[in-house]
Amino acid sequence: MSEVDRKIAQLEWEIEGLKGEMGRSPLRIEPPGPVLLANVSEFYLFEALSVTESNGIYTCNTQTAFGLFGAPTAEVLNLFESQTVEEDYEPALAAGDRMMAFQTSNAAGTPHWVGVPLTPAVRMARLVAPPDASQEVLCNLVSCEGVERMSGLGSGITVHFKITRDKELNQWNIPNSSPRLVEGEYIFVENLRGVWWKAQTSQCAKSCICNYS
Amino acid sequence: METYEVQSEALGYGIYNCHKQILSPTAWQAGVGDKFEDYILPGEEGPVIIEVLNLKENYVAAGDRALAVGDRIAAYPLTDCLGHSRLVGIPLTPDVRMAVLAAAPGGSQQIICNLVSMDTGLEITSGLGAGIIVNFKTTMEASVNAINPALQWTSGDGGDSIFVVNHGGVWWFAGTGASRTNNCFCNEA
Repeated sequence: MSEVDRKIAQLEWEIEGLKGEMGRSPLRIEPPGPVLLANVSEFYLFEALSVTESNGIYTCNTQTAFGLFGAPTAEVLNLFESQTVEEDYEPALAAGDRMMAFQTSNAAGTPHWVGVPLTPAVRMARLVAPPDASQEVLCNLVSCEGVERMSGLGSGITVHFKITRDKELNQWNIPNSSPRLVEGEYIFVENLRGVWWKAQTSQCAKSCICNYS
Repeated sequence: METYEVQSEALGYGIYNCHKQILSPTAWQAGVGDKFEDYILPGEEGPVIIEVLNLKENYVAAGDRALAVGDRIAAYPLTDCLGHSRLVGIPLTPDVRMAVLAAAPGGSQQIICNLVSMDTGLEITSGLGAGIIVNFKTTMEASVNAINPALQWTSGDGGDSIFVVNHGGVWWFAGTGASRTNNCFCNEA
């Protein structure tokens, strides 16, 4: 059988199948492929609304058409925040961020949702206040849709800076570091153990050029 | 899928000796810190060592390991072609993480650093995560003692903190190419 004849026979076979599709099994059944996550169906999507009083646990919308088990919201632990400290904790997720989560039981047998965020660890933020003579500044996160969070989860985060030390200058603060930052500018930030950090070390530098004016 | 905490390096190639974790009964209480605790099998006095492959390192033959003591991996069992059940997973640590200089920058494009622990928030001074070699991409092939940011380390005060990322078993300074500088402006009186 030539390649053309084989193709014709294949098409005729498919047409016959389509003609009698009522009450029949699907014409072509995809063979089961290699399954990496054996229990993929156990994962659900959640969208962060707010953070609870417990570090790293968020109140989330369930991302299914009819809610999940009849509940419109659920509490989900972000596994990337399972080791956060209590003091100065700031949530790593912003409103609208999503998590892929599954249910697991704690040591007492109580089921809980835990998951991993579907957002990059390094993300953009905008300075919403002028930097003062400290090593931290107030920012709003930019959501994954590219929208600055002006209120709620993701707004008003405190971003800490790592600045190189210079004993001669002895002024390790944001106004005396490079890059120069003013209110309204964007930086890249990352949340480590519940603390937001500017994701690059700044250079300690006296504002010699700017002070000439 | 379960959570595992790294204790030490196992066979290399991204395989770690880990302790299985279980959600703490107090995890959902207000303000508590760590949400997990070591899982202890019935009849055992302490947690047993379980080998887990970090899927982000499955192609890495040699070099500095990407995980440190106390890092966690979300892992699941996967059967290999001989029928052995293995645990493989993804790390629950950000790719970009903090490290502290453990030596003064010299005339090369590398600095020895210690990772900051995701478990304690402190510099790791021994074991997995200590003494990593951080490589720099610098402009004009400048050495790390002549770049911006001008990184410092002294025996008394310790070192500056930087952000690093592990690519294929190599730690890199995270950021744009560190710029060569003669620091002329800032040295003005």
